[in-house]
Amino acid sequence: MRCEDCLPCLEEYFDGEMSRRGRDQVTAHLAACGRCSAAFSSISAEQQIYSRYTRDVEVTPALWSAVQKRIATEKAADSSGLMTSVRGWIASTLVAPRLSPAAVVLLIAVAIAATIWLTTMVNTRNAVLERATTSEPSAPKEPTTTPSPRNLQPLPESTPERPEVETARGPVKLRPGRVATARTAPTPDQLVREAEQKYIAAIAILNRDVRRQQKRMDPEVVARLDDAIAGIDRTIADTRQALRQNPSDTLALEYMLTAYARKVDLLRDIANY
Amino acid sequence: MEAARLVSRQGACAGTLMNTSEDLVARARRGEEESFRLIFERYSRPIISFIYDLVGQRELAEDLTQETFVRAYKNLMALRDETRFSTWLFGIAKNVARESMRSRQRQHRQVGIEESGVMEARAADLPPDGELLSKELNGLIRKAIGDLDEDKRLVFTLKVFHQRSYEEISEITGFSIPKLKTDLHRARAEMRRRIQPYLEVGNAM
Repeated sequence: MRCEDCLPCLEEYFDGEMSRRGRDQVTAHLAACGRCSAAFSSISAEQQIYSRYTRDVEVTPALWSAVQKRIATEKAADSSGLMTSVRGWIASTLVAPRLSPAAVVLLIAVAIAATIWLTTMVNTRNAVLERATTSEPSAPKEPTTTPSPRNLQPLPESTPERPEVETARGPVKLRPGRVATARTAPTPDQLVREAEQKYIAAIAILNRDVRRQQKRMDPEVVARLDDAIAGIDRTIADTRQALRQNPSDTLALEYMLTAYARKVDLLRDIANY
Repeated sequence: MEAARLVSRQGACAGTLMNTSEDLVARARRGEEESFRLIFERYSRPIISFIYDLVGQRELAEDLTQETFVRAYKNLMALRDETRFSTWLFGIAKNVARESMRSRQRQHRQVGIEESGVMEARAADLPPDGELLSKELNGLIRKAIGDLDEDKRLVFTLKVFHQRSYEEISEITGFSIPKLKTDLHRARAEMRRRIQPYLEVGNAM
């Protein structure tokens, strides 16, 4: 590096705003160049002076009191009691975990799937009840696999016994001739697992880029980011545990998906650093 | 309920609440007044210092600091990212100070200083006593900051006194990074010229 390249970027170097490569080049040059080293010392000396600069201004308790009073006045002026509670309810809803657009779409999909599933269950139950009033005695149960859209087999055209299909509500006898390819909608649990797998896959890809990027980053920054990721992982683990214990815990689900989304965002930011 | 325990532990935020400032902001957004008071305690000093550097008057700086925090309180819900609270707050302070300066039709060379009679120091006039020198230097720096144009003053104070990164300064001021680098460089050059006697004599030590 030459002096004419080093001198113009000394301030940026001092401010810690250079890339690692640029920083290393300047450091190496300063070690060998008296002129640039003296210029850098001047910048340091200036900063030392500024660091001792004091102002004739203080934060007094009266200032906080004034802020409080203004806030109270504006609150009172803004709303009646009913409006305050309505606004407060809206505010508490708005400060619920913010979801990324992808997570919002996913949760909507989960909600729709849950609705379809519940509707299907209700219809199936009604159909079972209807058949129960007109059905023949059931044949001995045959072993079946858990149905899914992939492993339901078509019913043979003629069969001496009415086969049964296992559903979430128990075995259901099918009417003769009815083709057992009725697709059951994926359960919310399946949707959640699919979503989680997609997030995990995305995180695995991003982690590769992040590991490359971290080699170029300041160790202090890396440590802070590692802490941030560890915190998110703890949230994911805790909420997953909560969901295992109570699969219908929608709050834990929301938190878990939000944590995954946050992790993806953070890793993407690091990778693009 | 497991989820409720998680909520209370995580502070109702599925992302990570990595540091106390974010935690305070999250709680203040839920209406906890004590949390906002703690936010005030944490940020009031840097904010009042920042505003004072911009406007140059103590009482005005206090009023504008008050306005800054009131606005912050009223607009907490609009804050999209709690991790950027500090940058956001400085942005409000900058806007409040600028509005005040423009409403007072302040010229960049007329930022008032409260101490009168502060002259540009010359090396030959500098008294040997360190303490007097410090007051002289303080006053000199204050006047020199006031003599910078608004953009340079803004960038200089954020970088030199508040150690903000270029990215944060860009976010606070709305300036592009090339512009703020240029302004910062020129501000440093002007300030250097003003405090040169102190650098030469080594009176800062």
